[in-house]
Amino acid sequence: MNSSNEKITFIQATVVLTMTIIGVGIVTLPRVSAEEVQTPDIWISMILGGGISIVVAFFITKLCLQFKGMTIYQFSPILVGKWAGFVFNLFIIMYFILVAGYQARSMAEVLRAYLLDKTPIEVVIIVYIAVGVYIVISGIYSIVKLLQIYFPVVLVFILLMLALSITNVDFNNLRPVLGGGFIPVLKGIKPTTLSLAGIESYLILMAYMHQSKKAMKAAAVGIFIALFLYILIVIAVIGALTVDEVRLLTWPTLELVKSIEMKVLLLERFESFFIILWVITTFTSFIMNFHFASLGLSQVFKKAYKPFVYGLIPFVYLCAMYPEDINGVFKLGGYIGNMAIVVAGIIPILLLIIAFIRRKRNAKN
Amino acid sequence: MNRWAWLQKKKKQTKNGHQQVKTHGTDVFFSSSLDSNLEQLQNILGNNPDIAIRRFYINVYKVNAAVVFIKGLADKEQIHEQILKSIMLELQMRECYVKEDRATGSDIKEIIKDHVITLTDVEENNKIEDCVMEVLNGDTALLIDNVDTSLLLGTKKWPSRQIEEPITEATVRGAREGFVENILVNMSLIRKRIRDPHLVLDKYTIGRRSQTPVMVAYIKDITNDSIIQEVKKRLEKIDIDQIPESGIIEQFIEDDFLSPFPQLLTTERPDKVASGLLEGRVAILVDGTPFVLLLPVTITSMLQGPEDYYERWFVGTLIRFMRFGAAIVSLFGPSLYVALVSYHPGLIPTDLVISIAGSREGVPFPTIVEALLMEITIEILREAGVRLPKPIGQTVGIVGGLVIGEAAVTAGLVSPMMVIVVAVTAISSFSLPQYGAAIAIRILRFGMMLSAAVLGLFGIIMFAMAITIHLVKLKSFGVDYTSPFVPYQFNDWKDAILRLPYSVIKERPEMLKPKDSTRIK
Amino acid sequence: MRRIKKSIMTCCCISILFMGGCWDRIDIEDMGLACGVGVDYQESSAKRLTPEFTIQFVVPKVLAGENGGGGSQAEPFQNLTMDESSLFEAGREASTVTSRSPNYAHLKVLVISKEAAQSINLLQLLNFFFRDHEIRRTVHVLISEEKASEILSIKGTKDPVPALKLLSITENMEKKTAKMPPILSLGDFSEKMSASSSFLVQKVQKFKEGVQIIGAAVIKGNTQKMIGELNEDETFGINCITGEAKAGAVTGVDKETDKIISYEIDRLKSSIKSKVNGEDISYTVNINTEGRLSEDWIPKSDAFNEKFIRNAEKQVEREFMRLMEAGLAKTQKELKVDVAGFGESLRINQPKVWKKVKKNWEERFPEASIDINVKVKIRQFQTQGRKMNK
Repeated sequence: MNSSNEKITFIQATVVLTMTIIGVGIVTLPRVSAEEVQTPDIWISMILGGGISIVVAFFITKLCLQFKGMTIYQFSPILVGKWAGFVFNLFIIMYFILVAGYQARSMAEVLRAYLLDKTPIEVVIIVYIAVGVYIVISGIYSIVKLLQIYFPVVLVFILLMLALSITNVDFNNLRPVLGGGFIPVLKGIKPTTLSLAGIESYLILMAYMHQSKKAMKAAAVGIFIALFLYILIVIAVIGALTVDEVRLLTWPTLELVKSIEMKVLLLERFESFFIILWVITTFTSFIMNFHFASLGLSQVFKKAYKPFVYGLIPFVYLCAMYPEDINGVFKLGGYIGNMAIVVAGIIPILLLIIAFIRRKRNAKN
Repeated sequence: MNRWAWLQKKKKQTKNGHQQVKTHGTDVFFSSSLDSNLEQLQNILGNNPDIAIRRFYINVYKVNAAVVFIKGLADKEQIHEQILKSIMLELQMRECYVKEDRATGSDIKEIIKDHVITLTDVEENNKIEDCVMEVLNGDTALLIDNVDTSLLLGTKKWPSRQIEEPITEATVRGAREGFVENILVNMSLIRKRIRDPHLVLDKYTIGRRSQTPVMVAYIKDITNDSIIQEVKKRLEKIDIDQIPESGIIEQFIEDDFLSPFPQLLTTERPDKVASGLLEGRVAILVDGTPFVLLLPVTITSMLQGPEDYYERWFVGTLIRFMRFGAAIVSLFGPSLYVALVSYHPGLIPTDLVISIAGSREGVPFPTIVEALLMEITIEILREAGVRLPKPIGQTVGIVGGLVIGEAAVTAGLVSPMMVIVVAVTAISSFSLPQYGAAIAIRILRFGMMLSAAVLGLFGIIMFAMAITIHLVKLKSFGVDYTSPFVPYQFNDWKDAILRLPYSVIKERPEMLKPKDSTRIK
Repeated sequence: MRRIKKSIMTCCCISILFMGGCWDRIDIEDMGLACGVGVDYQESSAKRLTPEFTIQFVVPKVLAGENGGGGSQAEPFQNLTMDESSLFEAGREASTVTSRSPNYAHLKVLVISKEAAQSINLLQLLNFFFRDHEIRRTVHVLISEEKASEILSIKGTKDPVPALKLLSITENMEKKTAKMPPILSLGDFSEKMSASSSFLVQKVQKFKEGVQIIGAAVIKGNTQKMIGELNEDETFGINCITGEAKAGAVTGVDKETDKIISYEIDRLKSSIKSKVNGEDISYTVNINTEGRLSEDWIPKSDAFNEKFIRNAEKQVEREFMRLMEAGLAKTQKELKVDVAGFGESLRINQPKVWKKVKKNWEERFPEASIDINVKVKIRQFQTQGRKMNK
């Protein structure tokens, strides 16, 4: 169904990256980072984390530029040999499946906590996956277009949410800057950098890009937008609730939203908008990861794409249902973070070094 | 593309049947005997009362001749004045044209064709079948003894309605002309607006039995070739016995028959078609219906009316905003009410909660049943109002809307709040300029209500997502249905939800990939 | 054809999924809209301290049908008092009494009686409120002089539901008066508690037929219990120091004539500056306020005269000083709590010092010396300058 002349443009690549990055982080990031940093300087950690992400993006684009029109699934066997490549690919696919499941489950958990008390979480997840499959089945170009629709929605809703909560924000809660020195800031780098995970999507996406040379720029812009929104959210949440309070709350951002009351609007309460935002942001990350996993399988086994999408449904569902309780979900988030370091950091750099050595050797010969 | 394959398969089956039906006169040519020719025609056309065969004698050449036409389709006046009178009377008077007595048949034919008949359309034809087709179209066939071709004389005068104001798309400002059922008139209405030699009208005849004339109109140096090719390809695949209305064609050539969204625009307004053509779209005219199809369609066309462009720009923009709001209300209205009232009362302001709860006290149904009940009633009312003659229709509207609504509230069957929600929704859906779009939204509204009834706000979100996914996947003749919003075509946004002044919209819509994109220099 | 089959299949599957659906559906009229909760202390022989909960429901039928009704007026609210050890239990217990189980999404006011606040750890008492997802962080918290159940059953004439009436009185703080501390929402409560700092809560008491919100209850951060209360003047003073007194009237007395001068605050800004000198911590509080002269009883007053205005400003300043000193004397010296944000200023400006003193701040705070400077600026005297011409 995809006409071959379609390619992902610069803007689309940016949008895809932003939408892949922004996900569960919008509600968990403030707590996770406040837990580590314990001072209001989280936003500094965020900026540092953004810097690291851009460096990682640089390596990833450098690597992918060596193999134009190929995804990591296709070029890793070429670089490191058939079996090692297979293992790498399987690991990456596992990662994507887990992330997809994690996004679905986190979405459902928040929904259960705030909207649908008694609805079985299974139903929520099944509906969510079903709608996800509906788009994933039609391939990357449709997904990209869908993300383009949601991008302005997410942007507008986040900014609206922040604008409405501005009266609750007390900037004294963000002071003193660097009151506890630099060490807490450094502690916060890991969670903040991991909240920007999603850059690994370039390992696959670049194969479909129109001007892959502009990929680095797209990555930088995409990371920047996501980082900017995340920093705004963190500042608003900490400013309104204080660091100490944020550490107590399961979903701090939602608590912030819950404290907004607009007397003028017909919907005096803002949660409904936030829930829309929440479902959309997790959904975009979910479908991207789902797509990457099934694309990976189809490319690794060199078979048609669609059957793998259907085939993956039970696996994604099981991943989503695996954590027993909310703490299990957070734990899964932790594991995924560690896997992200491998997928986005270690594997690309390793492959890049190998590619570099090979090229040197070829030049000698 | 599966669905097209499926269509092809079906076509193959019917192909054989088609051949059998067509047996009469496959490549049968006229002979030189008038009698046998007439007999052949009589055989094919049958002994029907509307078929007229008028034999006469050309005195000058001493040959028999005959005209064949359909009463009512051909213009009797013209046949009388320009054909019969010319041949039978004036030919004798014009001595200069008379040659020897023994002129050959083809000489006679040439003389009559070139010197005698004062009609504009004269064509030679030697196939009986084609002749029959043209006669059935309203032309007159002139057969002469010893001549093995017929002269087809253009005497078409199809019965036609007066040009009137379009009923379904009335505007406050704008042309009062609407298309009629006669394709010839419709063509002229378009041509009148685009006096450009590049305007192409390609003729097709679709319908094995109805032989309905269908015209594909586009502007050669604006419209993108791939769209034209796609339209032609799909039109050629249609093989059906009859085309009663352009809707049949629409259903055959649309991209996705499972989609609730209209993938072709139907309009009665020649001005709309003309500006559509000039934007780089293709129009399909079908004889027998005032509704012309315009394609490709994108989501923006659903919210645009011709007046947007005739009024000053901010009026147009504001009206579009309003329509956009109305579309959202009519899509989400009742479902949001259901979700909020029966799932998330916490999201409604306290005062409103109290008044809603107070008004719902004593209503025996759950909100969703109440909402469905009211919505279905409204739909039935609407249907009843449409079918009835105008004065009665209004009465039904008043009786249904006011009396039943009031009675239902006083009887405690529904809450007044629900009546308000349903009424606002219905009015919103009337404000959409495109009937097809309004129907799509009405259908989706019910789906939305059901999903809201099961999963509350989450159900609404998921259903809305499914709709956006469907829209993203949908294409209309190779153009993304969601354009110009997605993929981002910023140039076209000037005329999407906004309608900026003309000095800003200098280019034709980029999404249609026109060959010539300058609109204003 | 395959597509049609496929879509029919999907539709069937989805509808099967929803056959048992509508898990969370509860129609709006079938739930008890709780708009206020009162907590009382109950003497009991049991080992644990047992609070007593009063849940106030609105009866929408009566409220909505008000204008149409007439005849015998039913109460537009219903109070249920349950003696259970937690609100959660009380809510469930309420379901045994009324057909409509409570829904807290529209909870507006939480009234805790003085007795309960003094004897029960509030952080534990209110845990349900912080945890439940229906209850919003914007619920206003009040401490009542009398029993909370009593306060919650006093009907206003204009607002028929007591809880909603209390809600609109609390909101007056922002616009009309500074004799009560700023609105304290459940969210603020939790924030203050989590930082274990002390704070003020609006206090409600019976006033003739109705209720009055005046003065403040002091909650100590360390013990999470109420330890004392401030009268209206002290509250006003603290409000000035925190800069929360954005509206309200101050009445000074003219020294010479012993007549009153009323000043209405239009704008008030305060800044707390901390100074650390070794172990000594000292503060300077600067208060700048602008406002209008709204009343004076001085017979020969002449507002067209600059001198008179300056004098009036001075008198008002004196009154401001008096109020603030009273507030500080009560909180700093007597109750030994920091409710005016002195610690906060230290945290922001001297984070290192704060780190050291944070633990036993309220022991150190009473020793700190505090200087107050007030600057009153009368910007306008409204439509009449003199009472009579000379």
